[in-house]
Amino acid sequence: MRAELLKLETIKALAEAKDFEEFLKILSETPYGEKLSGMTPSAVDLERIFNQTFIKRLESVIEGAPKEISDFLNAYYYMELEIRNLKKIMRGKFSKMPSEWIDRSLIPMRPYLSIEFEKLLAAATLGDLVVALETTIYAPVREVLKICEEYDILWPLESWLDNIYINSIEVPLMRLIPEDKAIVKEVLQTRIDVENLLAAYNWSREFKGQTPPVELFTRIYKVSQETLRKLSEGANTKEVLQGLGSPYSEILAPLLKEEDTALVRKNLLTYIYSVAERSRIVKDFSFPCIFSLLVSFDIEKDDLVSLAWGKEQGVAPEKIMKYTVLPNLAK
Amino acid sequence: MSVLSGARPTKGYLIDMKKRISFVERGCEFLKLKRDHLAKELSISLEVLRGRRDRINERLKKVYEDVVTAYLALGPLEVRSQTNSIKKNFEIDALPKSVMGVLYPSIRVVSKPKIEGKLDPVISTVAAQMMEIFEEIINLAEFEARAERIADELGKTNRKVNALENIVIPSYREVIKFIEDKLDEESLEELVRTKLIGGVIARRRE
Repeated sequence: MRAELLKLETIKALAEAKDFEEFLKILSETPYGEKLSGMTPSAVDLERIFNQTFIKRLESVIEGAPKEISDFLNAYYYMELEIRNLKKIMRGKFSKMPSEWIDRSLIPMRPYLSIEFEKLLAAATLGDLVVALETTIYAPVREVLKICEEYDILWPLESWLDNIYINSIEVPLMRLIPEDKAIVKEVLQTRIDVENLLAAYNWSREFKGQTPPVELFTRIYKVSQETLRKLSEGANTKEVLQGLGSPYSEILAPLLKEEDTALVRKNLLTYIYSVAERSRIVKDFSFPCIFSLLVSFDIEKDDLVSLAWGKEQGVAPEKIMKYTVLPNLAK
Repeated sequence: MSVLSGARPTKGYLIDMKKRISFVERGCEFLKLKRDHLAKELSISLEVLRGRRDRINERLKKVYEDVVTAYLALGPLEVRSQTNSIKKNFEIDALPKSVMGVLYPSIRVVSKPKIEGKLDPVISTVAAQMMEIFEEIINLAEFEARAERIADELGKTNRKVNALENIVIPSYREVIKFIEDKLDEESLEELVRTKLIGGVIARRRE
């Protein structure tokens, strides 16, 4: 399946394409070409195609994987995608968007945990949506619905969903062998820690000096609650980040130079990619091999979405490359 | 048609014309005061507006760059979905305000969407910047409308002052002069006639 991945040189060529037309021409010569035949897609159409391709690849990888690994990957990837869709529906219901509009923004996937997206889309209000989740694993979100309605905010619901996700993947994660578990933990913990740090940093800018509620942070790993509190209360970002050490200080370095949170996300993905690749070099079979393949598929999908949109909007290649991972890894 | 065509060379009409010209002159003085005040207001507005549009354009360019960054980092569907967590409750009130009788819209932001704590860090900065610029654009539009209307009224007032100074008042003066000359002429004729009659009567007595 690794052969299905685009070559780094091809991704670089896509990033350097002079316009959207040339981008489509190069893309049509890749495995994505057959899905493009006879259509002139927009960047949003392409995003759907990239998502569909990713899900298809994910399904075939999971199907062929041993039981413990496939259980974990199902939870790790499918549930994340399902939660992304759930958040999109919640946001849409929160701002009273028409259901068809919300539907168009959803990732085209089969529900992971017997959730019926149609039923959720049909909910008239956010409250109805939470009621519709009552029989699912996401039922605990009802506990924060009142707070959301009272303060007219949505993030507690989203944060709760993230919590449910982390809790749910812990069980299949435990069934992996220790070496594999270590790889996932490194990726997952770094990801959550960085997201917590970004949330704290964002809080400090938006609510200067105020102490954030503990629920703001999904789960605490290597970055302590104390550090997050300091950062969110407006402590010197440089001092806080320097105290964190590697890999956080490197990943979050753009906050100090140009306050660029988007670049932090790109650094995080690059880090995850490097962890997955490193583990594959050590053991090029079983879980590390499968995991690195899925990480590559995932990053390829994200990069292609950015490239397609950037090319459609006529964004300079240097700017596109600044915020994508794979084009920069090509020799 | 001559300005003198309707003029009646009578003392009553002269008094009436003098009253009229003093009223018109006073009106002209008031219009000059209005003109000066409007010119002052216009220069204040222009001072405020100077370079502001360019500065807003510069800031918009910067924000656009950040919007592009957000789209590149999160993808168009996610950005659109994130923006759905903001309730669209931006409301403004446009009330009329007046400077020397010139009405212009005064815009007040009644309510604006709360964006704090609702968006991904990548978008939240852009959204906050965009909101600031949005308010600045509204403010700029208010000042531009104010300047435009004041300038318009200034032009009208100037034309009125010029018309009064160069046409109406001189024509009234001409009428007054015409009536005064006529009346002088008539009184001279009357004097001559009186003298002649006086002479004839004196000669008869002799």
